[in-house]
Amino acid sequence: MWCTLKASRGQVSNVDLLIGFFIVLFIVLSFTEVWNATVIQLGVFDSRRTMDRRISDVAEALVKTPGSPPRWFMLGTVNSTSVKSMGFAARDNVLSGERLGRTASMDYDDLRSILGLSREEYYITVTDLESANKTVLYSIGRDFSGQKAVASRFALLNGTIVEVKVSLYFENTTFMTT
Amino acid sequence: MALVIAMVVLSSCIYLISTPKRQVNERLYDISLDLLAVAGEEHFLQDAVRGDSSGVDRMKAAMPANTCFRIDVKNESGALVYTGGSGCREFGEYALGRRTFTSGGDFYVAEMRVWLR
Repeated sequence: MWCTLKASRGQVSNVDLLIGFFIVLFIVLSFTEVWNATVIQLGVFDSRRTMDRRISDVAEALVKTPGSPPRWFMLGTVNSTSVKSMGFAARDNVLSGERLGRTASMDYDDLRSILGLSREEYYITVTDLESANKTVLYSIGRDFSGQKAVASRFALLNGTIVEVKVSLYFENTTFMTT
Repeated sequence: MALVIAMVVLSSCIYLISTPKRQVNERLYDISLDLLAVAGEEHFLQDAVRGDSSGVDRMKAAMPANTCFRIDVKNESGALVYTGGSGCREFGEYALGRRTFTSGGDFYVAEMRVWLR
């Protein structure tokens, strides 16, 4: 007995080797799985953050700024060359009907370009919150089906409280809806 | 080394978990400032200090069902002189916006809390 043990000292049996191999394989596969899931999750969070920032910026500019140039709605041609940024506000949180009316009649792609959007589709509504049926006063862009990111802001239009709702639709992306 | 890695992983997890909440709070904060701007523009705050809460009632009626708010107005010494809002139960995360205004030569601070239900 003593002689047998002494002879096999420092050696590993095939069964031990196989068990060890599977344990290491399990650890490596688990680590890879966790790593991949983390990378995917990070990508999703990053997309959400980017979308959230973008939609917040668009909504903020629309209700807080008059646009650039401030009287862009008086221009003969409104496109990305003549208008640097879009805004509906005559002053802080007070919207101007002229700006909204002009925006509603704009070309979809021109407005997308002015809003600083690239491949995102957009839909903007201005709803009279004080009317009995919450009437939509202006709808700008196209209402798509599917997942979207939404930002709601509140302002005044002709002395009435309105909600400016900006919806952005992103292709092939997972994101949250608020 | 293992401790450093564990801390990095832990802090990353905490950051990732807290991120969406922070985004929602930023949205609520924007809404609180919107409501304060609307109230300021239409003199709802000045009216409320004088005892006329019809403006705040207008805001209450206009708000979407899931959006709740509460306005507290304090005078220069910090005493609460008006409180009003949508009347829904306060819970969870809320955002707080502030706006100063004057009424009858006195200085006031309006605090607007906004939350979703």
